[in-house]
Amino acid sequence: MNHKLSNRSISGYLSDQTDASNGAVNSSVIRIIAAYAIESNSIGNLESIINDYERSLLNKDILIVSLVSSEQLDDSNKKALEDKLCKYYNVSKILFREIINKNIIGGFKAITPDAEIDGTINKGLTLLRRMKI
Amino acid sequence: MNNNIPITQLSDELKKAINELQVGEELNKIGVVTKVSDGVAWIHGLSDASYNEVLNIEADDGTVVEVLAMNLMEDEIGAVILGDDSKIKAGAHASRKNELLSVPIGPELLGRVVDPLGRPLDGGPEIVTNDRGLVERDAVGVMGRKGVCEPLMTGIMSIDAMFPIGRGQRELIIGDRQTGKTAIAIDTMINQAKQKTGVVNIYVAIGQRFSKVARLVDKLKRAGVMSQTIVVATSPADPAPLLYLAPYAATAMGEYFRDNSQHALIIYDDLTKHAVSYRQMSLLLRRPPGREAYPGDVFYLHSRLLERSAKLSDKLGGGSLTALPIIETQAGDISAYIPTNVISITDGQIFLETDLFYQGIRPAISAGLSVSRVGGAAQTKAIKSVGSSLKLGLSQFRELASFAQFGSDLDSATKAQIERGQRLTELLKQAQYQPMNIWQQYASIYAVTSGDFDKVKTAKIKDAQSALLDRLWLDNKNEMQELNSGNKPTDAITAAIDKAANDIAGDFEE
Repeated sequence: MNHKLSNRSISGYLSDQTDASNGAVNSSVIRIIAAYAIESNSIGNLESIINDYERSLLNKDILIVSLVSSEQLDDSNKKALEDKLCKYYNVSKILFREIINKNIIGGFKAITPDAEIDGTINKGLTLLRRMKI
Repeated sequence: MNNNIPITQLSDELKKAINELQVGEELNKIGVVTKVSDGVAWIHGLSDASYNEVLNIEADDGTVVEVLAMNLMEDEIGAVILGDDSKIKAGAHASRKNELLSVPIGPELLGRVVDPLGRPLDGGPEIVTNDRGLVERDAVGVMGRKGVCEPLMTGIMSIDAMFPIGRGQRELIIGDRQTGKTAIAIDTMINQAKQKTGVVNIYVAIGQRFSKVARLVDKLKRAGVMSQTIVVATSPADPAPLLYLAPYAATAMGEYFRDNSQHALIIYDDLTKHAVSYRQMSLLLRRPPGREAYPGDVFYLHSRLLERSAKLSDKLGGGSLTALPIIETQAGDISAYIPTNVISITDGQIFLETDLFYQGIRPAISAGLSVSRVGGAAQTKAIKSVGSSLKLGLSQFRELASFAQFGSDLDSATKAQIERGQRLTELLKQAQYQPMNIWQQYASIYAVTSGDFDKVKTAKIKDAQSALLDRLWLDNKNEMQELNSGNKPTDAITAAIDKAANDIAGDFEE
């Protein structure tokens, strides 16, 4: 019987195969997941699997954060944000995925696997527009 | 003028913002919309969302579309879209609203036509209420209830006399299309205003054409009922989730009156369409189909809705919510899936027959298949005193009716019974929008069952009834007003009716 695995099971497996010291995964594991996604016709689910995987890394004391800003953030800013998030999520390691997006106009947006802090000017303008509506 | 901000200054601003950041407060849990189709959005994330919780999805243009979490699965949430689904795209962010779906409730809704979310459909101003009621709410427990003890007069003679409805009862109106189901509901609403009972009407149009709803509202306005009525309307063009929510939202509005020691009547028109919309929604949410492709919990769908109609105990204020659900049958088949479900949930049913309708017997109530299981306890003494002889006369008539064609071979007693049954059948015909009050019903039935009208031609019985009621109101107004209180009529009252009926019978003799 062709039993389809849930995203959560796959991401749990990936998390188990992750080296907690550096957050790296063996490339053979990635190939296995890719083969399974093709075989089970669930390539469309890969983004969700990755999101679940990032969430499950919290159990390994790792938090992955997408940091969106209009300009490159300097190290002191990143450090300040890292301290705050480490304390909130109770993790010791944070891996930043930095994204430069001019559309946010200014400020920054930090996206964790299950939440976001949106301190962008763009968001502020959207809220103002919604209030006006 | 130079508007550029030096990068160092920008960094300082960011540092300040980060230092002032309260992570716990500003961190919004989010999910991502993975798919949108046919009014259903699939959301990845938000694993702590609860069943029936409202979620907000932010559209590209910044507007927020509300969705209702219905399927909580291991990997995703299936949510039905309550707003404009064209604005939601895959990849949009969803967040929790941290509240269950609620609608505005209160007297401010009276006289208004609203959609299931309490938004006005009548072109009137925005509805502002002090309270909101949960759309899904537990029914009152056993100790919070009381037996049905007060009548809810429909003004329709055959119902009030033979299948009486009490406040807090659930009485199903069932029949094929075009047999007068909605007409009974409208007459009942009109009667509440005519008799000044103070009962609030709530009419729920589930997937009804708006032209029909507009006609109904117009009719209610002209009858002076709209001021004590709330109309919750959905059209066939509305998405299935709105049709599904309509009866629950309307019940929440009715519960406000019930819980504030008032009495409300709610009409669900009709639960067949409601079940169909729930089936559509369930199939889109990929719930396993069962019999006739309905989901497994289609019984619970209606049982939990109708259980919220109740007569409350005196301790809880003694208010009531009476439900008149409507079910449309196909070719008179009351043994189909949804009809049998609702029949078993309700406290009785009024079955309307197509044959009777086309024979001109309107309301086309089938005396054999209709029943009221609890209403007898709430019937007024006056009507009860004539109701039993009416039921007996009609059942004897039904038994003997098959012999009617051999009239010449029957003995005179049997013939008399058949003729009285024909007169009773004729008497119970009642025009639409003309509900009758207690004294009119009592006097009409008494005149026939007591034999006063035995000499009146069957075809002339309605004329004789009309003449009798005019005469009684003219000559015995005080007695009739006393009778209208519902108490058992005194000998003087029955004597007055006998006298008037005998006088009038002479004018309509065969």
